[in-house]
Amino acid sequence: MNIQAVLARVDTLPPMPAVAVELLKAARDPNVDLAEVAGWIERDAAMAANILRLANSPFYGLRAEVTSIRQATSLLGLRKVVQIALMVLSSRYLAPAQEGYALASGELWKSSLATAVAAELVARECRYRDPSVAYTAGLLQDVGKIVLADFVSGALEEIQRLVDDEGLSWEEAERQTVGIPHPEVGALLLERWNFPEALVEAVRCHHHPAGAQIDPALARVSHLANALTMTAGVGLGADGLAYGLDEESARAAGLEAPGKVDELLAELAAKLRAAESLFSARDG
Amino acid sequence: MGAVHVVGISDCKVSGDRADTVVTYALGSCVGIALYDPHLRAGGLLHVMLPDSRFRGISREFNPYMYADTGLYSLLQQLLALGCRKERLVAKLAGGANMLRSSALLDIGKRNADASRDLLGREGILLAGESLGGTVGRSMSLELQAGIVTVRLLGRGEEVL
Repeated sequence: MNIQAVLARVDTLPPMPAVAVELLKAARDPNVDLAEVAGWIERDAAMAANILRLANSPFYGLRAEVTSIRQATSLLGLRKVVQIALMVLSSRYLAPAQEGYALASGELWKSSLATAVAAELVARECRYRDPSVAYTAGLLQDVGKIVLADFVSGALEEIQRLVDDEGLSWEEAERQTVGIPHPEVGALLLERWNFPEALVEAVRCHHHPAGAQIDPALARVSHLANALTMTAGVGLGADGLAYGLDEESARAAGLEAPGKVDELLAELAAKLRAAESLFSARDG
Repeated sequence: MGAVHVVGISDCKVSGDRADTVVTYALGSCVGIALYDPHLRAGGLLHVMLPDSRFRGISREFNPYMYADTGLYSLLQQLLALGCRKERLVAKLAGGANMLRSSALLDIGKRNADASRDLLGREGILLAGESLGGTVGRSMSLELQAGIVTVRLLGRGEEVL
């Protein structure tokens, strides 16, 4: 088991800038000072420029070009701007290729964005109270793969054997071979970065939402968002669809109604088509 | 060197140039349907996401390529317009994966595979090869020179249909 080696690798990653967590807090603060928040963002000129570029992409449907962060917050709302900022900040982690998972450059980024978009959709279906938190949970749920990819690479044949012959799910097979599965590594990363504990938990539990205690509804949303994204085939890697579906989560979201899954997938596909301008924006 | 036509999700491309290749990536539960006329060395590839257009919502613009039924008929029409003959067409299928211990709540892959086979049977089109099911993601390419379909199973290798 390589748990110590995996943990050592977690320590070598450049930390997420502290502004990420500050922004998440601000987005939930009813008394927030928008000018102050805009100031935090503008302190990092490259980040601010990238946020403006994304805010002006067709996906957000603004009629006029926004030229300042302050203007973006008033037209899109602070929560959307924070979502965009999190995308910009996480793209440097999620954009590179992850060969252990057979993910070419940009594929993990694509599936992370798609899961974020799916999480917003599922949040609406479940009437989850804060769709923008669901979005962030979806965006970051597979961040552990960036640490685990090299370890998975060395254990790939054994993982595939456990999945094919013994019916283990991919993350169970990761636990047996590498010692720790990617959702737990992702949760560790977010903990290091001081993310809110409900988000940490949603990442840790996205393949077994029944294990969540702090915000079980968020874990269920993350789980279903992941299931829909895999089904749609966006950014699939070597793990493919080798994960179990938590039926209780599916029922809680009303997915057993005839045609409901079909309808959600169709809606996700339409949203992803509109989001294509974001997929290609990762390099900026 | 011919052109490489890339088919997106819920999309379809055809070509009458035998030097061309038609390819689609990211088949999860989606099914890729390749149709090929060996006489004309023309063909096309359709990437469907859902089995049945009757379940479509009314709120969105309708995309026929999203569904196996309307998608297959659109692909057929385009091939006939290129001069292909239905009785010569040969079909190959790939995709239709499902999550582990797939539950009836989310068995889109199986439903896509079943619908695609049924539709081909109903139209009397020969199904000459398939790589369907399991939990593995796939990509698929059709080379028009000889009608060879190559399926790449992500993280696992290739299959030639």
